[in-house]
Amino acid sequence: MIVCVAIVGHQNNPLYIQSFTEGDDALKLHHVVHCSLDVVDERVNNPKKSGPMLNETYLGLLYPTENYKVYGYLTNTKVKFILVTTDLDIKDADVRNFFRKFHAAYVDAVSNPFHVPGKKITSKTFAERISTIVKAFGLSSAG
Amino acid sequence: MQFTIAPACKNKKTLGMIGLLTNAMSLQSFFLGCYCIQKRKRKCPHGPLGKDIRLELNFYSFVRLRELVEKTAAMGREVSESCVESLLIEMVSSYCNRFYADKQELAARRIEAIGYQVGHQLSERYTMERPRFSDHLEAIKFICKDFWSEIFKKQIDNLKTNHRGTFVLQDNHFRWLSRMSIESSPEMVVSSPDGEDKASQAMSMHLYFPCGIIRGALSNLGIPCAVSADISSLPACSFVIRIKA
Repeated sequence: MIVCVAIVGHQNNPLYIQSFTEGDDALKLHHVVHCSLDVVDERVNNPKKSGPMLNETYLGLLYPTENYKVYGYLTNTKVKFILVTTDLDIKDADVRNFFRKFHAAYVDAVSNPFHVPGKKITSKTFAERISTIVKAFGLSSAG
Repeated sequence: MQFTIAPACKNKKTLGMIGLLTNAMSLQSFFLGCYCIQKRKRKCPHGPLGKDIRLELNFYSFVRLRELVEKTAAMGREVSESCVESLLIEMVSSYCNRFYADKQELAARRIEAIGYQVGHQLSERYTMERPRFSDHLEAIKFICKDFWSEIFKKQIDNLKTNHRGTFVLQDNHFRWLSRMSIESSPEMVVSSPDGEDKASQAMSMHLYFPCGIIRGALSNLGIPCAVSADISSLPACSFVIRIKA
């Protein structure tokens, strides 16, 4: 199950953060997201792997904690997408697919002429679209 | 969707109305909308509404323009080229002759800013599904090839660089200039001897928008730069990108 998704701008400013849990552990999840930013920086600045994977937008599993797994995605425009999940075995392809949809939703949201670049995304349509994607992810990984 | 634009010229409701229309409207209805405004203008019982309507139309086209250029290629939707060109020309002329008639520099800055926003948004879309660029040259190449062909359906013809942060992008047949002429009009020649200078100055106003697009795209990719344009021989056009260290 996805417990939290976040979009972080190129100056590490939060653009969108949403948790999908019943309990009030939002703060904890925000902390997890915050920590992951350092891992993203590390990945980008010291790429260990070479070859065609070098500059891929999908960063893969950033780090596992006791309860969560954190995945990352970094666009060309230095916007970071973070996914926090409780699932233990997820297929890489599912996560990739999720990020692709997530990115497309983000692009549509910032293309709104009334959106101010660098400000938080407040669009309701966007929020709805994200929760649909998150729900669809839960179904596909469970099935 | 109804075209109740004329009531919106009571300025207070304008923004809401336009916002509403923007989301739902197609380009065709936009031009229909413009037509309605003009028609109303003649008939309007409240006397001359010229200025209000103009302002409204301008804001309107500004918002539409951003969305339009964005959508034209991105969503696979086709928009008549002449519509885009009319809109661009109208934008330049309203900024130069109406809003900032005596402040050409300010007008240029405003037009460039609109372009910047368009480029900013477009680059976000066109770089999807693409590995991150490792250096400046790769990003510039992206602008020359994919970005340019998304907007203009052709690539940049020639790219030169001094390897110290200056790039010259030459387009031998720049679409937005292909139907323009630098010949000065008869009345200009009569009114001033330096008519040709004025004509080329007026022409250069039309290049601030594409310059803004390039600058917006590059700065969104993390490359702050300054872009200027040069029209040596029509319809060829070259853009000079200077990357700020």
